[in-house]
Amino acid sequence: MHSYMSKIKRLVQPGAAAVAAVLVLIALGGISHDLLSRIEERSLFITGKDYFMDCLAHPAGLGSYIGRFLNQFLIFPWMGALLAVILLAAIFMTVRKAFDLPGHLSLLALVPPALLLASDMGLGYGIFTIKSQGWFFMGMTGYLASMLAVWAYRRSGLIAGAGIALLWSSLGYMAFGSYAMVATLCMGIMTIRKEGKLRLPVCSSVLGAAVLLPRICSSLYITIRPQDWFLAGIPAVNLTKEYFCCWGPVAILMLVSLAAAGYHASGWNKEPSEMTWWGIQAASVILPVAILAGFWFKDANFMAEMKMHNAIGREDWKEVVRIQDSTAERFRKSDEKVFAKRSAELAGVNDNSRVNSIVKEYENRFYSPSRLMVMYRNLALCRLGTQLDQMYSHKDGGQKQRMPELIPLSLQGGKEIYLNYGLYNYSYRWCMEDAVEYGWTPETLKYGAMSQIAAGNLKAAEKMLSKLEKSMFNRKWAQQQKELIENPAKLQASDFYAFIKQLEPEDSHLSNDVISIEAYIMNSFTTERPAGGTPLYDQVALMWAMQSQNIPNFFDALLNWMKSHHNQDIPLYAQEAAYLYGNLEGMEEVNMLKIDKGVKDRYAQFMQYVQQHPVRSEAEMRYQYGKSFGKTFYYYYYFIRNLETY
Amino acid sequence: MKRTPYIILLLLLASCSAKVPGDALQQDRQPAIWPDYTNLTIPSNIAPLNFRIDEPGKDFVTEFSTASASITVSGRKTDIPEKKWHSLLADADRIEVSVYAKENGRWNAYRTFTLEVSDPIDPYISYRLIPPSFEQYEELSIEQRSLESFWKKTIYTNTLVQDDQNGQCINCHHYRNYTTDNMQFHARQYLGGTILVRDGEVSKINLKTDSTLSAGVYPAWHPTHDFIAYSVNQTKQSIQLTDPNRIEVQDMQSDLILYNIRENAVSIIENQPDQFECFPAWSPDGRTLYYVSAHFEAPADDSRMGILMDNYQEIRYDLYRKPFNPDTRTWGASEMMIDAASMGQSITLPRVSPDGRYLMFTQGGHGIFHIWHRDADLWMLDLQTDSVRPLTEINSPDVDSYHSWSSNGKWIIFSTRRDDGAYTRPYLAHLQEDGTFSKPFALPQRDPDFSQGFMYSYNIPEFMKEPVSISPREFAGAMMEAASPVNYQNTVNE
Repeated sequence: MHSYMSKIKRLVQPGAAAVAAVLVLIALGGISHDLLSRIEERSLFITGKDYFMDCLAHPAGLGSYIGRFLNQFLIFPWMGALLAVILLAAIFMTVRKAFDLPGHLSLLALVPPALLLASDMGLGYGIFTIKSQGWFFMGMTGYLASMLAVWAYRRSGLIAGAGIALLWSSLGYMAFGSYAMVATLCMGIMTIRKEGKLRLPVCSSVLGAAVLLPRICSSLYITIRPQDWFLAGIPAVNLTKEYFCCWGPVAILMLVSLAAAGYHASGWNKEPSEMTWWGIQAASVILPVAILAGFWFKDANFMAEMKMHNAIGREDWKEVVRIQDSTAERFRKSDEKVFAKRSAELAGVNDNSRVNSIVKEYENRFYSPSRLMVMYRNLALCRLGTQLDQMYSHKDGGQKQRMPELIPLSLQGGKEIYLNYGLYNYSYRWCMEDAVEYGWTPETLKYGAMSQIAAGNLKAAEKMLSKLEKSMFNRKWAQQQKELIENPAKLQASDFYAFIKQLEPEDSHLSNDVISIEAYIMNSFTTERPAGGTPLYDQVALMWAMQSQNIPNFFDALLNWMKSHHNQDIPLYAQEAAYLYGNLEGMEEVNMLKIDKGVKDRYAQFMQYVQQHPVRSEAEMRYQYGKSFGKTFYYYYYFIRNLETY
Repeated sequence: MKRTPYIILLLLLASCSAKVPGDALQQDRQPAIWPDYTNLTIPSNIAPLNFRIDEPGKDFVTEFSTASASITVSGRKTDIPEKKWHSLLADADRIEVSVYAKENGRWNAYRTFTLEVSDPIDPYISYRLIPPSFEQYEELSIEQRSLESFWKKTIYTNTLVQDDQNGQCINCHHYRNYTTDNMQFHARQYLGGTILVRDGEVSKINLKTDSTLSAGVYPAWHPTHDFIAYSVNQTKQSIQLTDPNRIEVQDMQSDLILYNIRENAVSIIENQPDQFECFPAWSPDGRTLYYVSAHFEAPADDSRMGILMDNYQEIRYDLYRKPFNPDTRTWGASEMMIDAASMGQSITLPRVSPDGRYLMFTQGGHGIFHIWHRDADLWMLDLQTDSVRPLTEINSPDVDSYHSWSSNGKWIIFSTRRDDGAYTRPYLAHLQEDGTFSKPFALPQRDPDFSQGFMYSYNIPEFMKEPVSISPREFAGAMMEAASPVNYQNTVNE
């Protein structure tokens, strides 16, 4: 029995580590596949001395350079995930060695990798506002290098160790930033365990150097504020309480490292009892799981947006629509439960303020797509040419990002949305704004080049493509675009650019989107039709006019559509809008339009339902009406209103 | 085995010394090179003109020769040794450049081109590096660079003070008579103010008073007295829906002021209603102030911005001059020199040559911010003969704008987007005896590919006789201080 237990004990730790590695691999490469791909787009690695020197101009420059190099492999998410798992596994093993963790505490070395992974996967929409590139691997490489230095220090004598510490506190800081500083602090603490008369002076010198040398080294750089020296290399977003989810894991990692050094310095190594041993193993597994579960950013819309963006990049428009539908479908049952629960709570309540408070409490529990998802989906429908027949067949809404501060949609999706709607100066604008704030990335270079090709500014496009050609995995795409530039006939034959050209406004004028992409595009299509508007333009303009819920805008757009689509049947949702608005405004002319019987019947049913189920508030009745009329313009007009776009 | 390191060393040495091929097949054309450095007039103290050979081939040799010496380098991209280059320039009136390319085992020799060695140029320039973005800015810096070598150093960068929440824009670096112990630049938004260096002492001032539109914007340091003329502007930047110019920067209001450094006071130079006065520039004797001004009538209420935006193509600037007595600080009446608006044109950035003979300006179809106007070209007014002409010999189909004279008046440096249509690059050109310019050429770089991959614009290139010795951190220290207020004093007119 004893030998059986000891066999199990021997297997528990490697088994748990292996399971953890496999689970992380699946979570990253499988579940977060599209997020990794999006992260790849947000960081650029190119070959060349100038690029290397640019990286080194910042503290933690080498870490950033390595991080950017590894980041490019995320373009193949499984490969990127595997690289991450290898690095995390290396950290796990190095931490054990660095702090000489006794056997029963070995599994606790899973905590630092978990914190590093949490710091990456907890960012959520922060991936759009993080200023350092290569951040996904930067923490891992910086911490791994620092733990290797601690390991080397532990195995060295007092004086040699002091040399390592001094060197690491300066060179390590310049190469990997604050991770090196914490490692040197660990070294200082661990000096207490070393033998030699000079132990205490060395300990205090190392501790002093751990802070002073990085501070001095930071003054060699003019790319960092003097007061921010201790943040070098850390992908901090905003050091406020609200953003603890982003910087918290790194802060905890630093404290955990210092605690591990303290444990080593204490020399306490008592073999635990059997029960305690199992307790420690259980805690060592639960702790990393709890860290990851707590910090991992969980938002179905966020993941859907990543997927939809990637599908747009592939011009897989059907997939864009499918992703939105499948995301909504996942919440169908939970919405029903929420509705049932809310109905139970509302039953018998007559006090209006109480009703409102219950409705408000439940409002955000119902699933709703984000505005970006809706814009992506409508764009895809435009590309497929089915927007006027299908746009209200899919769920609409305006769920906000689950972040302390909203990230402008223009920054997230402005580049591709503007470009596809023919507003290429604005697409270029958001490439530039993004690149200025967060550095040039494959995303900004790609859309920057495409917007310049669409604008006919081929020299500027070529410049961006040349930069992209220096990257390992985006080279082929850049070469394909260059081929288009060099071959005007091919460019003219390109469906992608031909679509954009058909939506191009005729006259330029001065304007500003004031960051609000949806309102700007809506205004552009509903008020600025070019004299020679193409049939495609009128089709897209009609869609935006319907989205605007503005009656005069709709009829203007419908007339334009009818002029450019001679003798064609009015599309389904345009019929619904015309019939509804005609009835609301008492417009006899609407009867002259060819409106399907089904459209009229649905309208009658809707009105009958309204009489049977009076609407106390939109929020209260939205779900109930949605079940019966969710796929009609009538529902959109009455229940999808006043959505905040940002 | 013991001889291996020596063999490697010998091979390395052999690879360093390029030889001109003797049996090359002569081609009847000059080589395609980037940047285009063929047939130039160059300063006698310019940094090596490295270029990339855009001809087919595997091996390349380039020979730079004068009557008495030569340098031979190998490789598609030339990497001319600096010392040898300057020795070559020192004794030469002319350098002949021969390019050879080896393709399919056979050497081709391209027709030789020449570099005429002429007057020296100021040894340094400074410029702002800025991404040509729309509204955002992040890392901005004012840089200095040697024209005799590839040495460069940051004068000041906003990364030393700004954070994620508080951005700082920096602009308008300017020197008194090309020396750097009297200089200035502005910071906007976070820790805003004007950094003024006076006889090497750094201070920060706030040029905004209750009686003036804004803090100082475009500066012109008086050549003999302690005055700086500024425009004060309220500007608006908008985006073009589809126009390739992309951005339009407009004055909503603008005037001219004079800052009296000794008395720490500003006074109005020009603030005519319905006139947008801008871009002051002194004559070398300091007795005339040149500037541009547009006449446009718009109500001073909420509708003003919309009206100005809708009519942006109708706002055109004319060239003016205004006499000034620096001893009595009195102004004469303004006089229009060129009525550009009547010709459907708009003049900006007047700059007078150090000998007072020429006035160079930028001209485009409308507006004030020609750096965003593709039709913007350099023009020159001969102040002796009053003749004016476009500088067709140096202009390009793209933007040609911000220009600056060297201290000896023999060279100009100007900003142009001719290379890629998006990023401004500094080009140099020589003023010849007959008042025309030699072929312009790009600022030399150690790596000829540098400019093509560089994602910043060179903004406001200015010549300097010496480098700025104040460190970025000293400037940052001054920036952290509160800006000292200035007084307002009345203008004295004749």
